[in-house]
Amino acid sequence: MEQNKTSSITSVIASSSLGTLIEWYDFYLFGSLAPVIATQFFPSTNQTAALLSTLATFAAGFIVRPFGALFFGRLGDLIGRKYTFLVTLVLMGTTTFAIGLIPGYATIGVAAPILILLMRLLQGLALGGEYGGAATYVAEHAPPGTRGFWTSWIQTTATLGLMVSLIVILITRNSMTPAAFTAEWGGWRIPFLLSIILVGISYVIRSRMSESPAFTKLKTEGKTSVNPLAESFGNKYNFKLVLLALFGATMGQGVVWYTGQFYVQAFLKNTCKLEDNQTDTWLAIALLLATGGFVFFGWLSDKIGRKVIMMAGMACALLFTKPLFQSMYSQVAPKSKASQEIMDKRLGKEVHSLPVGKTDSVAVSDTTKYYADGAMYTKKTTTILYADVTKKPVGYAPNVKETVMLSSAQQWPLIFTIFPLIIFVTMVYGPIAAFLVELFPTKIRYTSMSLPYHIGNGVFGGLVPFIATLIQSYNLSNPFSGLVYPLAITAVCFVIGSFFLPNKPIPETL
Amino acid sequence: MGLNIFENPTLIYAILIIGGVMNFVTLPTSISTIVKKVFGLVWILTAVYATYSLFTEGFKKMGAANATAQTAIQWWIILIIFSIVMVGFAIYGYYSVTGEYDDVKE
Repeated sequence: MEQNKTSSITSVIASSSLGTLIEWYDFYLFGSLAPVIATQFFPSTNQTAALLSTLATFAAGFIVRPFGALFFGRLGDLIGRKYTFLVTLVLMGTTTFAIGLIPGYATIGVAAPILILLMRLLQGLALGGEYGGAATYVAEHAPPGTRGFWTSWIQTTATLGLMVSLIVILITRNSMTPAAFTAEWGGWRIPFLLSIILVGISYVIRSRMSESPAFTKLKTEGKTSVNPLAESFGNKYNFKLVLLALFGATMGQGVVWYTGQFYVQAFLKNTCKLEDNQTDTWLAIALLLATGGFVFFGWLSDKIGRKVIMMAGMACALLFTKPLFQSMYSQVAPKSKASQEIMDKRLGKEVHSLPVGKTDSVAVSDTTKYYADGAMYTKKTTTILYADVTKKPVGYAPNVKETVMLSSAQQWPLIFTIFPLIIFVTMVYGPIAAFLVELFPTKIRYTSMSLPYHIGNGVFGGLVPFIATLIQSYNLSNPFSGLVYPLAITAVCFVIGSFFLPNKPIPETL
Repeated sequence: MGLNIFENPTLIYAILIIGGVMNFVTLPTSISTIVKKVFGLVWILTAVYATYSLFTEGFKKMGAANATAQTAIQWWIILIIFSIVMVGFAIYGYYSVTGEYDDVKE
């Protein structure tokens, strides 16, 4: 009997987690391929403007997440968890697949970025409905006293989804030339197209699952909510719990998560100039090594309480985030290597070319330096030589691309610098599904827990790369100035959580 | 935007010590009520200050000589979304002041 129960919950976890993992995979592809998407769909001569434009689209994807949480959360509390998160899965899969099919700006003009933006908004809507459904579904199947452990498997999917997306991109990118990968109909589309197969498999598995026992019981007794939105946010007692969940838990969890998993990637690539493949590979290894932390801290939260672990995670993030970023900077960034002995320096020839149909020629020069610690630094400068100097734009500056390649001996020290950041993520994120599920009553659980989760993660967390990049662009001399945003949000959330959150589940009152 | 106060290690240590202690110590109800009211006021003031700072900063950046349409879009997204969230934060502060969170017990 006990074995049957365990086998049943295991299949619930496996089928729920697979679908959620695929949804995260779909969602992350866009962010991970942002530079290519910017080139193909958001043309601009200024690289930073193109990047910010994509980041804005990234943010738009996150901003609609709370609306998805409300829309699908309401459906989930009205018609059931199972059917609702089947719809979100299909919506996410088809929009991701569609992104892989949309022609670039060069072919259909302004329709291309509009279609991409639309697909991105639909992705955000689907993601907004998915997580709350999966977490609620698993928690309502879990035996008493083990919710933290079982729901933590759902928590691993966000990290594994990122890791799988990085691996698929790496394999695709390495199987062809850079030009073939970034072309309008190039290899970058493959990870998007692949999604339809993954979603198909997950749909078949999920459609065979049964409805959550707690929701089935409510439905049988005729006690399901008639208006989940009004009962969640119109009822003062519940609304204040929604606010507490947001400002005392998910807000801090969101920024710790996005700093440890996404801002670190942008920081290594853009600020430290670490080569793309090295950044993605080493981040994927650190993610893989730390993933067990989700399950461990989920399990531990069943033993010692959710609050204390989440607050400890925020405290560690407050204390160690900046020193860890400083350490990454000193290991990688070209500026930090200024005092090092240069073992070899090679200046490439300056190559001039005249593109077909143009009157302005292009001069490309490159410099390579080999440092004593084994790192290699390359600087490629592309200058447009205007035939008619009066047409030279005001403030024109050559395009400079700097890249640092670390030696294999430097790999593990860097991975183990990223690793603690992801462990902090597992501390705040591992127990949070169980915490949110236990904060709200069954009949409005899907709606009530989804909104604070997606505002905390989508708005506060999702905007970390955007706001941090923005803050840093005003203070270029300090490479760590962007961290002030996640640290401030974490500090406020830590204080609220420590003083106001209960350490044990609140008895159902509705 | 005032956020750079969080670069001060002393403030971070103070937050960690006070918050950390609260995870293991239960304050007497009378003291806990007063602390929650004080925090409530702080959250209301923080929400007002954060909204004011964001709008001031946003309009400054949008009005700058090198501002583009992209600058305006980015800032309007941030201003609208954060304003809504800050209203929520102020309501949260108000609930703390009026003792609404005194009955959230373990």
